[in-house]
This record gives sequence, structure tokens and C-alpha cells, in this order.
Amino acid sequence: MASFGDNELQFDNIFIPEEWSDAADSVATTWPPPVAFVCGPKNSGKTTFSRLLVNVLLQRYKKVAYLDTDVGQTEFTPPGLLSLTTIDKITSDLSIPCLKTPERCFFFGDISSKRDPKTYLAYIFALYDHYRRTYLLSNGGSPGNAGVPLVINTTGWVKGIGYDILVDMIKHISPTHVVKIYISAVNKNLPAGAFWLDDGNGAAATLIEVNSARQDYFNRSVLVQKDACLLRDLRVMAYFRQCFPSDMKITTIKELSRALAAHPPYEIPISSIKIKHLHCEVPKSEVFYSLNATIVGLAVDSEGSENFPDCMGLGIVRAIDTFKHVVYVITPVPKSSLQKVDLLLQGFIKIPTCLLQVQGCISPYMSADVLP
Amino acid sequence: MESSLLGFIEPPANVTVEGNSLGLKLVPWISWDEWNSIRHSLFSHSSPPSVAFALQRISTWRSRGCIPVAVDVTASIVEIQQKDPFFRKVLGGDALQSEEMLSMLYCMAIMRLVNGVVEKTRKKAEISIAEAANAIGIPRMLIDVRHEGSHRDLPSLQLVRLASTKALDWLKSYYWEPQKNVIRRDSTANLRKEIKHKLLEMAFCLKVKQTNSSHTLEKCSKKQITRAMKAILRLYTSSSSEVVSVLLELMLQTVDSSNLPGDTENALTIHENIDMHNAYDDWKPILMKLSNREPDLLLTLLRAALDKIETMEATTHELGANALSGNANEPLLIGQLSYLCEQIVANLKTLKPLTHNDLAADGEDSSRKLSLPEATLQELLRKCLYLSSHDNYQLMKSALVIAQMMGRNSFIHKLNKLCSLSVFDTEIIHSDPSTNSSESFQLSREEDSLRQAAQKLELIMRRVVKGNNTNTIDTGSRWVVAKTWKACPIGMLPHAFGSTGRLPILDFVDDSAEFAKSSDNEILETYKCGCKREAASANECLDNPNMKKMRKTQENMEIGRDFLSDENGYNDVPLEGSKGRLMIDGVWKKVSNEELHDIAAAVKIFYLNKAL
Repeated sequence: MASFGDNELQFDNIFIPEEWSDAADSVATTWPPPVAFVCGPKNSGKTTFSRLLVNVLLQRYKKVAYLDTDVGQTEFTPPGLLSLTTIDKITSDLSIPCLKTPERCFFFGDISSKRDPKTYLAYIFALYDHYRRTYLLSNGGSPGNAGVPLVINTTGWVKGIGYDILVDMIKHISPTHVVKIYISAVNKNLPAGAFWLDDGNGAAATLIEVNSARQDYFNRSVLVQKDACLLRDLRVMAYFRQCFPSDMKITTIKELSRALAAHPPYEIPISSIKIKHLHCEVPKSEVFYSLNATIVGLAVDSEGSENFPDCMGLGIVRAIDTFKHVVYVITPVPKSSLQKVDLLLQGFIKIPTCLLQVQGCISPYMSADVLP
Repeated sequence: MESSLLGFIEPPANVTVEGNSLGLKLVPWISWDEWNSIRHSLFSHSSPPSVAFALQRISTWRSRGCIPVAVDVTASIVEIQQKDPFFRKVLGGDALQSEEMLSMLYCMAIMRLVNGVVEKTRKKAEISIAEAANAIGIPRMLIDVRHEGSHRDLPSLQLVRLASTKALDWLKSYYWEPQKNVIRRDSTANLRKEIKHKLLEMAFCLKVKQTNSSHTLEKCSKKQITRAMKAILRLYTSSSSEVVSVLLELMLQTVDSSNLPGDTENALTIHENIDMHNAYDDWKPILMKLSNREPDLLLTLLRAALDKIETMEATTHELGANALSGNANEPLLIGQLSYLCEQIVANLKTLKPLTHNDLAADGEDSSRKLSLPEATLQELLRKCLYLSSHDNYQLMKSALVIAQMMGRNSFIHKLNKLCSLSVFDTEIIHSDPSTNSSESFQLSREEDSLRQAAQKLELIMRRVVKGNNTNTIDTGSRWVVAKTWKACPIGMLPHAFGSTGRLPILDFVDDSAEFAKSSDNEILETYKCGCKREAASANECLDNPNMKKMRKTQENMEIGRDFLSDENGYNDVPLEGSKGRLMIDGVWKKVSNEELHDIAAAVKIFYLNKAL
């Protein structure tokens, strides 16, 4: 459990250096409600810092908004989604993520922004604009929603195209604070100073520079090298675990796979939904070859308006029956939200292979005899 | 909706161990048949449409995100060659005239080949790309092209053209051929061998236990039986159809109770004097043991037996009564199979309460298996009835028992009538001296099937009308949970039998909105017309990738679809044709004029049989 002393925060399983809590405090104590942009190279502790910051902010604000731009290592959603989530409860354990239903999200359909930086940015800007419209009083937000700070977590891709994307984000959002985390490998860090400013123009944000928690004087490691792929799989599985009541006994991956294989799916007439691949041109005659046994974003087609299709969550296209003209989809999204969904967005979010090969129920896409 | 991730954090080793033990990898194709057919099309230089088809499918594989790099690069090179006037003399608007563009394309593809394939084999950056490439035998020319292309001038078109051919040859020898051979080696033969071995082992042990219960042999302890049984059950869960087919084969084999399981490896020979009753008695304990654990097995076995009878009868009919030489055993075999069916059905009936206890104790999956699925029973009943039309009382009896299990009184009553009717029929035939001639026998048979056909046709009509009505009701919401569902692997559709599921047919079909409106008379009309149109357009369609021309035949097949789907939504046998194509080797291929005619005729019969 979290316990709050006078000036220090102590969480289970994790050590927070003083530098970090100071930084978090300095962000939290500003007015108007801060918009904090957390950036830094891979494995520097951006996510952990963001969680800390959210908790510190929650001591002062009823609600905190969280804009998650790290499609590969998402915080509250399964991977591939860009989301804006509001949090009203302090998380006691900073070392694990948990799933929350976002206030608004878009399905980007890949684990890195590199496949389509333009769309990636457009989605993020749309989410930020949504935050401004809803929560910033000066922009016409309702008074009841006043005082909701925003924390923006970013990816660790800080070089090349990744850097350009980061700069574009800061320029559009103009945060009140930019928290930059440094690691000991100097050449992997972001440039010193307010790197996003060109010729002194641009947003005047308060820059806070901290060192990665790995370098703390106890020499205790906060960060464990993550197996990103495994974490993604776990996140997808935890997401689809929600298809079943929480009191149902599913504790192992095997049990989940078995339960999913037996779970009665939604049966959707093919004629009533659109199917779109976000990153590939799939010929119409091949759509089902492409779609079968993949993870899709369940989206609401915005019917010609310039808005992007809102995403309600993810689904697994578990089978397609072209004779009955139906697609079978498994999803934990509540039925009320599903009724609006008329668009299946396919991307490159891989279905965890352990879900496909439970004994006795081995998917045809899992094959033996593949040359190494 | 808030839940912790922690519940799932098992030791990562667990995740990989399971994958490794089975040695499975995620692939973008649904079967090796699909892969093989695409391989074949991709290298069919003489037929640009089939190359184009293969390229299209491979780009679909790309969209699934798990394509092996060798497949990816092969497709790229073939695609570029298809745009190069040098490789493809007759080119439409497809040709790429700019030499510069062509060399850039070739060069990029070759760079991706060298980097992509080598990167996988090169663990650390300890050795150079050239060394690593050399180790797997990539032609030197490709490495040079990569080097020139990345660091120096763009290589000449002449050079990269030559290199592209070498690259394809190397890819064939490095990936396509070895991969093809690996699949072959693993084929079902090994699997069947293992199943056979385990079944015989179990049979042998049980036999020994029965006869020498006084001095138990160490070799055949109870443990061994359980172990063999577990192995069989495990095989059954992964490949039920194979287990059942081997079991059936074994049961049909000459079974001399004295030398079971002795020398049963030799070819299937059937003597006049075998008694299926004995054979069945030998296997009964095994069947009971297995079905206690896996009640599905009996259903699957029954279905397999019925299928076998069906194919046998089909071949007898085809060959005619005169072709006796090779098929002398067939009637006997059919008799044996029918007896077997009767026994299985009898077992099924007794199994019901047993299943109850067993699974309740087991706890797992109990809800789904507690009772035999109605749809399955219906399907079996349908088949029994159909096959019993050839004076097969045993099957008729089986059908009766199944009907009783389904608990439909009116149905049982009708069946009883039908049963007595057919007995009466044949009695007349036998009492009449002239009926010994095969002619009149044949006649009565035909009459019988005609009558049945008429009944079935009426049923179809009714169903079509009914189908139209129900279709219109369900328009409220599109997200509805499927009413019936059976556990099956992700990517497959549930199968009425077994837990293996069936492969879906993924070819695109257009909406059947137009069809739904027409009355049944019109349906038959369009169906007829469809055949004609199909024949007329088939020639054009043969090598034409233009999908518009397929439209007509497509409509035609949609009728078939609706005819096929029964109320429970189980279509176990995929339609033979779609869009004027045939499923060959797992892929839809276009077929010729005459073939289509034959199919159309066959399919009509098929619908009639299927529809009851």
C-alpha cells in the first residue's frame, strides 16, 4: 500500500530517488493545472516517472488525464492504441501497469510510430485537442471539469524520425513542463536544453531535467530490462481476459487460451461492417485471407467527417464463415459500446502465439515444420 | 473495466516452453496446401495470371505481418521480373520501361534478400555480411550487387537482371525446395503409424489382461494401458480424424482373435469368413475405455464409418454391378460397417449417463459436453437415413435409436413407419420369383430414391421460404453473440464433430441481398440459368483475373450456400465450387467447361442429399 510521509513517497517494490519526487512536486505545485510532457531514451524510466507524477498530482487534483503515445508499450490499454485516459485513483504499485477503459482512443495498429508518422501525430493531436476542449476552462471546457492536469508519456525513440516526431508533438501541445530523463549513455540522450525550440521561437515550457533512477546512490536498480515482446503479449492477454467474469478461474495462459477457444463469439453479418487494413492495400477478394485469426480495432466509422474513427477496443477475428456471411469476433468491449462499432481496423498487432496453440486446439496458422 | 496484469505474469520460460515443445511457428498461410499451391503458381512462368494470383496472395500474407523473409523477397523479385520486358515479352500497361527504375527495383530487392536472410543467420555482428552470406551459399554476385548498390554506383540493369535469376534459383534451393521436402516428410503417414502403434499396444494389453488374468505379465501392467490410452487421447485431441480413421481401418482388418495384434501391419485383406461381430468384440473394450474419457470419439467414429459406407456405395454405383473383380468384398464391408454403426449407436445411448458422471467429476468443459449436441445427432440421423435407403436395416435401426436419443416422438413414429415400409418393400421383392433378377431390384430401388428425392426437394423448398423469413427478422443489432458455439481453434469454424474445427473458406463472396428477395420458383430458375451462364462464361474466365466476369457464377453459388446451411448453421462439407472455381490443393482454382458441367450436375444431387 502506498503511504505518504511529509515529503517522500514510498511505494511497494520500487525506489524513487529524491530527484524524481522533487521534480514531480515541482510540476504538481503549479497553477494553472500543468500539462507535463515526459520524454527520454529507452529504459530511462519515463513510464515509471509518469506513474509517479500521476500519483503526486492525484494528491492535489480529483482527476488526472493521461495521454499515452507509446503504442508499443501502452499503459492502460492493449498495444497499438493511442489513448486519453482519466485517472482518479492512486496506484499503489508503480511497477505494474493495469488496464483501464480510456476516455477516448484511436487504433494506430502498430507497435511503432515509424510505419506512419503522419497519422500517428494526427491521432495524438486529436486526442490532445479533445483534452483541451473537455478540460481546459479557457477553451470553453465546462467549469465542473476545471483543473484536470495532463501527463503525456512518450516512446523511447529519440533519434532520427523519432526525434522529429517528438519535436512536432511538443510544438503542437506546448506543454507547461517538459520532463527530460537522462541515462548514463550520453550519446543516447536527447539534446541538452530546450531542444524543441528553433531560433528561440516556440512554446516556453519549464524544462525539468532528471537522471534515470538507475543511477541512484544506493545503486539499486528500479528498472529491469524489459522483454517488450513478452510484455505486449501479456498485455493483450490481460485485455482479452476481461471477456470472462473476474471470478472465473483463469490464472494461467493455458486456461485463458482454452477459454477463448470455447468462448461464444459475436456473430456479425459481413454486410453490416466495413473492414480496413491500416497499413496495407488488401484486394477485396483477399480480405478474409488477411483478416482471419488476427487482432482488429473495433472502431466507429465517422461517416465522411474529418474526425478519425473512434476505437472502442480490440477484438480477435476468431473465424469467418463466408457461406453464412458472418465474421466471428471475440472482444471484452461491453455490448452497449459495441452497437456503434461498424468498422474493423486491421493492423500489425500480433495475436500472442500462446493463445493459438493450446493443446487440442491448435490454430491452423501455427505450423510445425517451418524452416528456421 | 479495470484489472491487473499481474495475474498473468507467469515465468516467461513457460510461454516459450509450450511453444518449443510443439515446435510451432506462426505462419500467414492457413495450410501447407495453400503454401504449396502458391509456390507452384509463383514459379509457373508460362502463366502470368497464376503468377499474378500468387503475388496477390503473398501480399495478403504480408498484411498478416508474419511472412518469412524468403517468401517476401522471392515475391518481390518475381514481381519485378513481371514488370520487366526482358522476362515478359507480352506486356500490357504493366511494363516498366525505365531501365533506371528497373535496376533500382532489382537492386533493392537483392539488398533486402542479402540483408534479410543473412541477418537471421548472423547471431552477432562478429562476422561480416559477406562471410555470413558465404556460409549459407548466397551467390557472390548478390553480395556484390548489395555492396555496389549501397556504397557505389547503381549496378547496371544487365547485371541485376542476371543477379535476379540467380537470386531466385538460390531462394528455391535455400527455402522453397527444402521447405517443401520438410512438409512431405512429416506428412500424415508418421502420425498414422504412431496412432496405429498405440492402438495396437492398448489392444494387446487389454487382450492379455483378459485371457491371462491369473498371472499378470509385467509387460502389460495396468499402467501401460493407461499410458497407451493417454497417448491415444492426446493424439485424438490434436488430430481426431486421423485417430478415427486408423481405428476404423484396424477394426475392419482381418481380426483373428488368436493373433491379435500380431502381424497386422500387412495390407488390408478381407476374407469371406471374417466375422465383424468378433472384430467388434475385440475392440469394444478399447472403444469403451476411450469413449469414457472422450465421448466425442464415438460420434466421430460413427461419422467416419458412415462416410466410408457412403464412398463405397458411390463407387459401386459408378462401376456398376458387373465390375465384380476388385469389389467383391464391398458389400461385405458395407455390411460390417453397418453392423459397426449399429453397435456404436447402441453404445452412444448407454454412454449418455456415463458421460454425465465422468465429466461432472472432471469439472472441465462439463457444460458443453453434458449432452450430445442436437445438431450432431441430426446430422448423423440424416446420414443414416440417407444411406439406409439402399435396404440397409442396420442403419435404419441406428437411425431409429438416434431419433430416440433426440427424444422427438413424432419423428420416431414417422421413422418407424418408414422402417416397416421398407421391410415390406423388400419382402415383396423376395417373395416374387422374378425379383431375383437384378433388373427389378434395381427398379424398385430407383423408385425408392425417386420418392425420397421428391420428399427432400419439398423440404428444401420449405426451408428456403423459411430461411427468407428468418433472415428479415434479425436486423436490430449487428453485434449478437452466436447462439451455438463449440470450442475450436482460433482461425477455424466449429465442427459438429470432434474438437478440431474445420478450415473456413476465405474467398470473398458478395452480398446475397438480391437472392434473398426472389421466391423459390425463381431460385430454381436462376439456378438453371446460372449453369448455362457459367458454361458460357467459363472459357473467358479461365485465365482472366477480372473478377467482374465471375459475378454471374458467384450468384449461382450463393443459392448453393443457402441450400446447404441448415438451421443449426453447421455446414460440415464446404461447397465444392465458388465463383467458377474449384478448391484444389487448398486453393480455389478455375476449372474448365466440361468440368463445370459435371460439377453442376453433381452439386445438384449433392444439395438434394444434403438438404434433409
